[in-house]
This record gives sequence, C-alpha cells and structure tokens, in this order.
Amino acid sequence: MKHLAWLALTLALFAATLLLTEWSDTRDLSHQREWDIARADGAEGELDGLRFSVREARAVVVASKPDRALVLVRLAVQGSPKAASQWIDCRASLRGKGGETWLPLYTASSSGAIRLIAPDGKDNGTCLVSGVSETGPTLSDHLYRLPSADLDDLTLRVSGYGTRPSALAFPIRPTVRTIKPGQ
Amino acid sequence: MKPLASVLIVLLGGGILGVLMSTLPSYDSSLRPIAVHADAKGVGQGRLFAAELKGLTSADAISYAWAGTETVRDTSATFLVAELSVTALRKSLMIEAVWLGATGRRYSQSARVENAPRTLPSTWFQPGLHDTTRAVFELPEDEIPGGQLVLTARGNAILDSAVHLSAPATPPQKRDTLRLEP
Repeated sequence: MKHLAWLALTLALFAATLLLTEWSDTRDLSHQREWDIARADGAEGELDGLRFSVREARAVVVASKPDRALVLVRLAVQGSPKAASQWIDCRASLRGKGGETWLPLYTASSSGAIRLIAPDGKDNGTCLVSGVSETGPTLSDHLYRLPSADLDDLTLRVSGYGTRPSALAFPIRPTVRTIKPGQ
Repeated sequence: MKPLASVLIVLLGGGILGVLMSTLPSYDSSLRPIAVHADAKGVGQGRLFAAELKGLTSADAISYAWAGTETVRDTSATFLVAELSVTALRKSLMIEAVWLGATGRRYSQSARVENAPRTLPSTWFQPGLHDTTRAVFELPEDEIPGGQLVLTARGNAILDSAVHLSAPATPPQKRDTLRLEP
C-alpha cells in the first residue's frame, strides 16, 4: 500500500510538471497564433477597445505579369491610449480561402508602391498603436504581394500581441486595376 | 552468493547507464532541422516552402549595379552563385541558405554582395507565387562538386524541414566576372 502511495505521488508530480510546462508553452503559442476570430460585419470592427475600419482596398496587376497582384489596404484605428497600450503592437495579415497567410511587405520599394496605388498618393506608414487616440482616426497602409487568382476571396486579420489569440477579421474585396507597361 | 549477486547487479546497472550516457544524442542533434532531399524533378518540398535549384555558376569576380553605382567584388576564393526558384506554401517568409561543402564544412552566404539584386537575404516569398532568387557564397573551388545547398526558413528552424538541393556531378561553368542582373 505504501508503494502505491509513492507511485501515485510520483504520477501526480509528473502530471503537475507537465501542466505547468504546457501552460507556459500554450501562453507563448497563443500570443503568436490567431484562433479566436471576431468577424466584422462590414468594413468596421472593434476588438479589446480599439475600433478598426478598412478605408481602402486596392489591387494593381501589371499586364506583363498577370498572375500576381499588389494589394494596398488602408486601415484606420481609433480608441483610448490605455486600450492601445494593451494591444502592445498591431499585425495585419491577409488570409486566403486555403488558409494561406500573406504578411505586409516592408522593403525599400514598398513605400513607393504604396504611394503609387494610394488614391491620395500618400504612405501613412505601418500600423503603430502607440499613436492611437480617441479624438481622431490614425491611418496606416499595408502592401501585400499575392496571386491574382486569390483576390476574390480574401480576409484581413488584425490583431496585437496583447489580443492574440483573438483577432478581428474583415472580408476584403479589392478593386482591381491593370497597368500596362509605360502607363 | 547474495552479496556477489548484488555487486553484479550494481555493476550491470552502471554499465547500462554508461551505455545510455555515451549514446545520448546532443541537444543540437536532437532538435536540428529535419533534412528533406529534392525529388526526381529536382524540387525539394519542406513544411513551409518548396525550392528548386535552377543553376550554379562560379566566378572570380561579381559585378552589379546598386543605387546607380557600379560595384565589383573579387575574392581570393571562388564565388558560387546558386539560382533558385522558391515558393512559400503557407505564409510569407524569408529563407536562409548554407552551402554544405564536399568536405562537410558549412559556408554561410557572402555578406559582401548583400546589395546585389534578387539575392536571398532581401527576398520575401509569398504563398502561391514562384519567385526566382540567388544565393551567393565565397568558398574554395573544390567544395563545389559533391556539395549541397541547404535551405531553411529564417528564424527558428528547430525540428523544421531543411531542404537539401544537391549540386550537379559536373562542376559549374566558371567565369572571370559574373554580372548579377535584376
């Protein structure tokens, strides 16, 4: 009987060790993944005190390479600085119907491409929650490169380190413009 | 008889423990990336990306234009330029490359040509899009035949796939100066 008690104690400690390790790993993982999705009805949605809206969704296809497109998404965010600080950062990714994830481009030429596609010729920069206020919207521009065939079925997901695994999801249907060389 | 049996049991246990300790794999080898080799068509498909080695060229010097300035780099070894076709499978990513030489030495990409057009360190790969890129190495010429290009997703590649693309049996064409075009 005494041996059984020791065995049970060993098993209980082993299970407790597993749980503690798993809890910490699950917390780390949940800050990276988005599995609690709040779907916005239209172009506006709110998550953890910040209100996001999709101001622009434009795609450009170059006629010489029709299989791929550049997509510009302009986001506006408004909310209290306290809520913004709890977001910590902001990630906006596009999802395809097959689960593909396209991340925004941050290259030397992406700013120029954003200014070319944007209706006002401006690049409002990346999504920084540190500048969010209640008095007016803060704009950000996100450029993606993806197959033209996926333009019809896209979802924009917006989340922060502090909100994940929760994320906002917007259906995106960009207007498509085809550019011929020399235009 | 009983004390002798006890001593034998202790010695046997010690022996088994010694064997276990001596055959215990190191942390690095237990968690290293999982090697995936190219198929018959030359395409290596990892968990996050697929890649194909389109060609190898070696050269004594490399030239390219960057920000309107002509740049020429020469080397006391040999430049090896690997032309690649890569597509991401699940999400946007960047890729790291290492040349695994014929002697087993591992060569990182040359940092002296990082501003050259279409080089691997500056290229993002997107799901659904095939993009061409190039990895540039500086190494002894005899490390090229029998070597392999090893590609991993940038970041933490622990237990993730490492795509191995073997060099052709014949040495690549060598040029005095190789021009890297956009």
